[in-house]
Amino acid sequence: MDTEIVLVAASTVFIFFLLLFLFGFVLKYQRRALSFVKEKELIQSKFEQTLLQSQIEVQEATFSLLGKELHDNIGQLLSTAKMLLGIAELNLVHPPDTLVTANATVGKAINELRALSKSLNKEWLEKFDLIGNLTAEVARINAAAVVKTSLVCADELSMEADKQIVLFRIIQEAMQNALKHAAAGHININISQSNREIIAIVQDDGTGFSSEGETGGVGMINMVNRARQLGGKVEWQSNGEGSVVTITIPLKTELHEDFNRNSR
Amino acid sequence: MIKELFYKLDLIAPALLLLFASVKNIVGKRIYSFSDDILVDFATVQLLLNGIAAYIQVQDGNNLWVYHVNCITTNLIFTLYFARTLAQKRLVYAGFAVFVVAYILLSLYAQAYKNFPSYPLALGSGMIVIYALFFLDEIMTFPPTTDILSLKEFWILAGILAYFGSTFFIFISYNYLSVILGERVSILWQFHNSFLFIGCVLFIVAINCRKWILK
Repeated sequence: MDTEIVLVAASTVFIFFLLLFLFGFVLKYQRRALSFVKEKELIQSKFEQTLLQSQIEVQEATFSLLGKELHDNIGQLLSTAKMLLGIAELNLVHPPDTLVTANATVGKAINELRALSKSLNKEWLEKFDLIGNLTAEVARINAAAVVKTSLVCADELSMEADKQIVLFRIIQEAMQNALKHAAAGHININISQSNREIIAIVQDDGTGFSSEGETGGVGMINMVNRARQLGGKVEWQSNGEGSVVTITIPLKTELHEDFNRNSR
Repeated sequence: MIKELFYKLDLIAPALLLLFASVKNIVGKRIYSFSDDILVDFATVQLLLNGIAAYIQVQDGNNLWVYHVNCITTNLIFTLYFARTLAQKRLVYAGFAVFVVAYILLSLYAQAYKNFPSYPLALGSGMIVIYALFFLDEIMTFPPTTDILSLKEFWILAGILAYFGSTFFIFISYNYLSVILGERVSILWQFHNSFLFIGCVLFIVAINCRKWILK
């Protein structure tokens, strides 16, 4: 009988330890599985960031190439044309008004081309801060005298130079959208900064957009991707009497750190 | 009555497992995984061989050879299972080779077919438990799901640990206990059958799971 009691006790102890082992295993497993999922999400997020960074770098390289080509090829041709027009103007005692106007127009075209070439060149933009670049961009658009553009912004922005270029590109795209698609008469840019974030608002009085289809263009996707690269977001509002684009960029986030690491 | 029930548990448990698998197959019209096939094979072998052993016993014959067959077949079934599921397949193949050699040596020098093969049974059970622990470690290293309780393999391994873990201790001490218990040695089979029942219940839970690791 004693042996039977020992056997029952041994079986009970075995079952107890088995249950304890399985319970411990399940607990440890759940913890590990959760950390595994988090790790996977982090890797996924870092991969997306790297991908976005690469896309933006490719775009910047394309912009720079385009800017250089405009400056070196078309710019040179226009300069030669202006020089020839100038010579022709000098050789004539009474040059016709059309020739004078043509010479002035070509001169204006050269200036606009140079300004556009600079706005596309990242190396040039990096020499200035966001405010400086935006001021030049506003001046370039106002020079065409088609749209009246105004800029209101803080005196200084506490944001790294690389990120300022990215924010500049987002605002530039918003301005281009207002010019190309909205047929706007006025564009107002307002940039404010708090301790936590920078908010840029681009407002126009154009036709706006009503359908959802109009919000999915390549330019808009680029804006969203660039904002995501900085850990921020872009929001559009439109009531048919103009549109408002609000770009919110946090000043310190984990994604900022990733951006810094990726851009080095 | 309860005592009789305990003696019949080695038939009832695999029969229940087979019945559940069949009902699930007919009613659920489900696709069987490799694990389900292994469990059905195990239940079939247990039901068949335990039935034969019980019949021979009733006829007052020597049924010990059936336990030899059971030992080899069960080990082969779970060797096939772990050879497919474990990443360390060489370990399983090496383990089976060791088992075969040890079985031959034990049969020749210690427990021939006319004796109860307690040492080979203990060795086989111990090896299956080791494979199961390795598999648990693999699952822990690369978690296939966030909810382990919904995973078929977890319940199979729990069943293996419950049944083969207990039978390892029962069979390793079988010779010693049979001397102490004398004619009451059959009580060990009550314990064995109880653990087989627990194992089969856990295998039923495994068959009911809809999530498994594709191998």
